[in-house]
Amino acid sequence: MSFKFFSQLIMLVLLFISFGAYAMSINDIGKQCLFSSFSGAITLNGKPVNGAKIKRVAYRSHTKGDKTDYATTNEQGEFAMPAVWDRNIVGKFLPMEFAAAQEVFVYFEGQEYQIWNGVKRQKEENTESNGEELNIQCELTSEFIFKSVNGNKFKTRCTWAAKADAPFVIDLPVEDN
Amino acid sequence: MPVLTPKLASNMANDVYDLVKSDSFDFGFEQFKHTYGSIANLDKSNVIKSKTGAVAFIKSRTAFGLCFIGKGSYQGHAFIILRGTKFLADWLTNLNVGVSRSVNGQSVHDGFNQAFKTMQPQLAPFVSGLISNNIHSIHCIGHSLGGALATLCAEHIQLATKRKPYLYTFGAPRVGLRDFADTLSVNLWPENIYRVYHRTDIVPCIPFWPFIHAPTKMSAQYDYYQPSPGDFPSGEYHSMAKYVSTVGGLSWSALRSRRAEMTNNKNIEQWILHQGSVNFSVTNLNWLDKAINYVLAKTISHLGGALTVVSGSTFTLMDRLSYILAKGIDISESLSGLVLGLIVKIMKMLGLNKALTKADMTRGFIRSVFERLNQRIQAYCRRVLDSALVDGRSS
Repeated sequence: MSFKFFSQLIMLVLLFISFGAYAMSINDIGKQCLFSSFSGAITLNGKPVNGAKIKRVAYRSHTKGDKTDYATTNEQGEFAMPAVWDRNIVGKFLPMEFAAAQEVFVYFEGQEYQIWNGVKRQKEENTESNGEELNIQCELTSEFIFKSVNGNKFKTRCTWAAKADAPFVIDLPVEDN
Repeated sequence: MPVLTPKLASNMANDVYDLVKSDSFDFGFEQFKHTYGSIANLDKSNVIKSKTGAVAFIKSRTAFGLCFIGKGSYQGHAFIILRGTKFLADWLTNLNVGVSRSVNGQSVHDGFNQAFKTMQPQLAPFVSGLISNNIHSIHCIGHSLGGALATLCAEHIQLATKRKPYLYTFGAPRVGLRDFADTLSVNLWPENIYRVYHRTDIVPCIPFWPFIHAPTKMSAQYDYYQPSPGDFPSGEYHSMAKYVSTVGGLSWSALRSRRAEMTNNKNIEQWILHQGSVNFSVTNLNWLDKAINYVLAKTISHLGGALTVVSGSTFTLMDRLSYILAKGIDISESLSGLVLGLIVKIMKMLGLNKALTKADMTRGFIRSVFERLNQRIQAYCRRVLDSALVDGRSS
């Protein structure tokens, strides 16, 4: 049985959902920020790490693969990395929820430290920090903490200024009928 | 039996998206455990060893799912949370989408059905474990395409366990035809189906006729329509984050009370026969969908077996639509008035105010009206695109 007409309708109505607040210009259609610009300072036992290698992995949301880049800390343990962008027409035109995994590793004096693990749930930049630039302070010996910002969830050794979401309180089952 | 609150169901549907590929889902699973560990047995080692269905990942090209058993205040509860992948979305937009038989022999969207069937072998140990683990409440949860899969999963679980699972969907598309929706409504009970949708979320409106949502019984009583602003389909109001926000901390009964208008047969007829002007908006497209279904159902009930002539493969859906409606003109005075009213309504939405009589309602004419409707929807989409771009530039 051919579903030509209503299948076309399906295709067309799907287009409705494709054009939300994300579009900024015709060149920005399908553009997604996988990891916002990321800067800060890293310490080990309270002292700045100089010459540490930072590896940042930004995973694509709707397709396989990742974008990996690197930075090196200066004498003050500081570093800065630009935002990582991706273009995904698939996710723009189909009803796909955006969810981009993020990881950051620091390599210093022969040791690997994972400092950041998270999932970015909005396509815009700086959603990891409620619209502010993502500027972190990270002590490599710190314990991991869980932090949720604007629905983006992180497990990290870092701290940053963004206000954390209120803790999720689990309701008891209800009799609601 | 106790059910999940809207807040818990919606957050679970949202949080399953955090299980994305970074390092074998480790992070997402850890996050999930961090949030829900107090009420669920989420021991990662059970994922691999599981033969009795304590925890299960379901991974296929088209779907992903997380299944687990509750503990503490959720002792005796089981959770199945599903989401679709982009490959399933491809199915939804497949122009040659067909209908196939679900596990219970009902007519369902072939893409969803194939996706669910790829999950079934991985789901089997968990489902068989539901009986041995003394589970009394089974919760199937999903957003968007995941909602479609959760619906098929609920049908499967009811068939396999003879228990009535609870189904919670947010912005889910239509899964099957009338036979599927009717059977699911009976087998699950309408009160166990929590289908939440925003007014301007277009995904629950598709696929268009003849696909239909469950529950079909007591559908007005168990309707979780949620108002959303504007008269325009909105991507934002399809997002799971928006559903979480809409649901907030409200109860199911509070969500039910947001239903804007009761679309019973009487007011569908009133909408069809109302003589006033009608614009081309998402609200009226929703009314039009209900009106087409209503008039078709009424005509089909009169035609009965005569319809087999249009079920052959040479008939497109538009052929069937125009054939059935044209037949409706000859059946009775009241039905022909509804068919005429429906076509006039569509023409008014198209800005065509031509005086029509029942004699004009030929199959060819009806088909041409639906073709123009199709063209208008295309133009409407283009305007949405232009509008989105303009809005974007100004922001």
